[in-house]
Amino acid sequence: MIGRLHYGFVPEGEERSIVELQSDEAIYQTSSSVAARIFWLSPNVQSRDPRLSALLERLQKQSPQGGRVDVITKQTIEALKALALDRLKPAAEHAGSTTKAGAARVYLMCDQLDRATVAPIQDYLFDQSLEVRLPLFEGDAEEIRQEHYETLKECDGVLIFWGQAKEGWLRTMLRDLKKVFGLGRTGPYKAASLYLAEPPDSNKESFRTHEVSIVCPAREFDPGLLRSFVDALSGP
Amino acid sequence: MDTRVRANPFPGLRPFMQEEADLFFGRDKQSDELVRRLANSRFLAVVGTSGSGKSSLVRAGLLPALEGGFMAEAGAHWRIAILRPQDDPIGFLARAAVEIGMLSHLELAQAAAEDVVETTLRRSSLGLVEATRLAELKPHENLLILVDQFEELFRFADLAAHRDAGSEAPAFVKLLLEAARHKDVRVFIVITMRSDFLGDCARFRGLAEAISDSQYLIPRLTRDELQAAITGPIGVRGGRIAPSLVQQLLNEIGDDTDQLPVLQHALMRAWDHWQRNDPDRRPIRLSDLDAIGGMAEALSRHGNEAFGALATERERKIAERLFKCLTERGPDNREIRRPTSLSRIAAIANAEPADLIRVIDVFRAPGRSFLMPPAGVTLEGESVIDISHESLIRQWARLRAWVDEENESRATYLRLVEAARLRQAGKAGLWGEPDLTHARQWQAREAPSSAWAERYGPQFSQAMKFLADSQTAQRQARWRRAGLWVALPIGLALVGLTGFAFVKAEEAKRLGQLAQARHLAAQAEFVRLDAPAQIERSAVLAMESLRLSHVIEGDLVLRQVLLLLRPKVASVSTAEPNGFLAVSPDGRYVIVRRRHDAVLVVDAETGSELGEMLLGPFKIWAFSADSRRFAAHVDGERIEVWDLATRKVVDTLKADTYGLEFSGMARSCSSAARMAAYHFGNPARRKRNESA
Repeated sequence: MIGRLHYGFVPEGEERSIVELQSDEAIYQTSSSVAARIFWLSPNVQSRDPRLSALLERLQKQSPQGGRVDVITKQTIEALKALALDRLKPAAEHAGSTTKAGAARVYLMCDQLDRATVAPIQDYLFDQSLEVRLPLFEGDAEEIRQEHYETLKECDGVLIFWGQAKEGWLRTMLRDLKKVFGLGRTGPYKAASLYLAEPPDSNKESFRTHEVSIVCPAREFDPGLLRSFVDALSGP
Repeated sequence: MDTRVRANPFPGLRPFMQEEADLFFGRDKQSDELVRRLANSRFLAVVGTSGSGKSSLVRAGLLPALEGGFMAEAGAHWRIAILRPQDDPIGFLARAAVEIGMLSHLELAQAAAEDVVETTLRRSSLGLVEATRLAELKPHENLLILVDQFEELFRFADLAAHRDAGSEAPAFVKLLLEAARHKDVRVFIVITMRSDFLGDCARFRGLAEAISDSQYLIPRLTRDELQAAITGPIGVRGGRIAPSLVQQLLNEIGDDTDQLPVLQHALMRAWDHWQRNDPDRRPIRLSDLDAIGGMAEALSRHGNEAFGALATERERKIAERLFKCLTERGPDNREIRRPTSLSRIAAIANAEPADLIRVIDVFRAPGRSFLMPPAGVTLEGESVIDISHESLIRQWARLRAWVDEENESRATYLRLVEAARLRQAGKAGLWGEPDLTHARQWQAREAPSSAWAERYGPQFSQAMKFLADSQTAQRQARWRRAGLWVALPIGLALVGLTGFAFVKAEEAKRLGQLAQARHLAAQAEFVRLDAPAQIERSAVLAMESLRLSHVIEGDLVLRQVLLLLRPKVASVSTAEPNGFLAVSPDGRYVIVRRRHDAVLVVDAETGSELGEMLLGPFKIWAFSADSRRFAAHVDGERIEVWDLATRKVVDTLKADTYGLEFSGMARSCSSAARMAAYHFGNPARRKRNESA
């Protein structure tokens, strides 16, 4: 917490004030941990002390190494309290990946009406030593969304099964594939395919996209059609 | 698969669309809460302040969540009808229902299907339930009706009451409430509404109760959510942003109600600036934000930039009319959007549709999005034009000034309408001073038309007749007073007879001059319209008209002509957005506002700048009849009289006033004691001045 009038008391034998020493210590202590750093600068700083200006500038430009860094300026102390409480809340626990080391993870996205229909595909992928995850079909919106995004962030490949779902559902899923890059996913998917299943309709027939490869099976599930998908996931 | 491209991920002022859900960050918790509440009650009112992002939250948060299957008990099969009530709520509901294929199994033509649905809707309060049954939804299918900007219904209800269609708005509300109540049809209703209209909901039976049960008041975003709203879209499009800039933005947002649209707009502009300046080698940083004016100035600067891109004065005038059509200051000083059809705006702005579209395109160009529909959508006569967000009114200084002007103009007009109505009912008389002077100045300044006045009511011709009658009566009363003033001494002395005859002769001369002046003004107007090549002749005729008598017709024509002649007569630059312009009665001087604290005097014949008069803001002003003096009520606190030849103050009087006029005696008057001649305000002060 840095006040608005003074640079602060400079101890004997030191060139920096206690405030600056504390700030540096906080940066040092948290740079190699996940602890959050919050610096609150009083609104309407009135001091013209160049040392205080330099300190403020340095804090604003500090490296975000380690945990989260927040430098709050122009806001009341209530904003600081609210943020401090937010930072102290435990991070939401995610079910987490329980995959055995080395197994590539596949997110098999489908509508709940197609849950039974995807079973052969799910079995086939599992038999190829892939870890397969389906969306949640029960629970409240927060649980379903969290699971959906976490799976999208962590998986190596995505197979979208378009059976009875409407085109609106498909478009939402395709958008979510892109959205996860803003949620923290860094690398591209090793494989991403769209599986066009029954029932046939005009939307499916006319659907085209460059975002994922399209698999068009005949009536029965043909494992051969997913060979390249599996190979892409099994590779390095 | 590389999904990262460098298109701008920020929509600016307009709301996020459903197709942009991949760029919509920081509001997952809010979306999930909407899903939960909607599942519980099937009727959901999303309420928030202007700028809280209601439309974005519903379109890019709730709708994708529903279609993604996040409401597990309802599944992912939705038909979603989206509408705004505008001026035909039930009609728009029918059209939206047909657009999502509500009667597609009947294979009717679109117009016929709309008729069937609309008739069903109007039949009873169960109309929407019946229409849903007609639609034969599949067992797992749900119907969602989204009524965006529900507050439009309140304005529609007011207008409908004028047109004897007062029951339509309550009927529309009943349709929605009944449909949500019937659990045997899977209909869900969502409305979005500004929180300052909450009180208006009590106007409709059942609506206030429904909203009390199921409203979601949009909370402020936390610091973390705001951070996600900044960094998320940039991550999706493969960009980078400097952490110091993120901190700066988070700190600058503050408590302003426009925080979200202003942030979105600033980020859109900063992204564009970054893209033009070496984006591959550096992240978006503070210099990009500074280059577009920072958070505080970005919007106003961008608005002025668009306005400056208009090529001609005519286009700028159309733009002013356009934005005045689309905005309104409502009760309690609320800024209100007023969506208006293109054909109607063209009529009000007195512009050809093609010219108007050219202006609209400037303000909806990619990267601007001040107006809706967005760039690329073809505009036709019935296209509804709207500003993309109320925050534009609050943040763009020029638009704010236009809204204030329009508000004042509307108030003057409505006062006229009310006065005309009272007079017709025998409850009030014609107007005298100072109302009449104020109304005449308004008429000269705004040149109101019936198309413009239709926005505020249908009594335009009565109001204008009332104004004309008031002017005529005042003129006659003046002459009666003048006659009395002269006749009194006549009764005392023989000389009076001669004087009376003189006055009569003067009156006849003046009336003759008046008639001649009007005739010349009409000729000038005829030449202006029918022979543009002889525009100088029109100017001469208009000035001759004004030389004979300062008739309003001559003044109006000369203003129009001067606009056309401006490049030849006078090239005057002014930083003022709504430059004051006045022409002296003899047509010799043109006065324009150059800065907020000075006006420029221009020689109308040569175009040369004669010099400045340091005159602060004023709204009330007058020329002396001989064009030597100019008086103005400055800063709302004093009257200043200036000599136009020397551009020096000759009189000052500290006074409140509602009107200014030079008396005949004041032609050459320069003494402050004579100021009572122009003073109409505080009676006590008037008395003091008269005694002086």
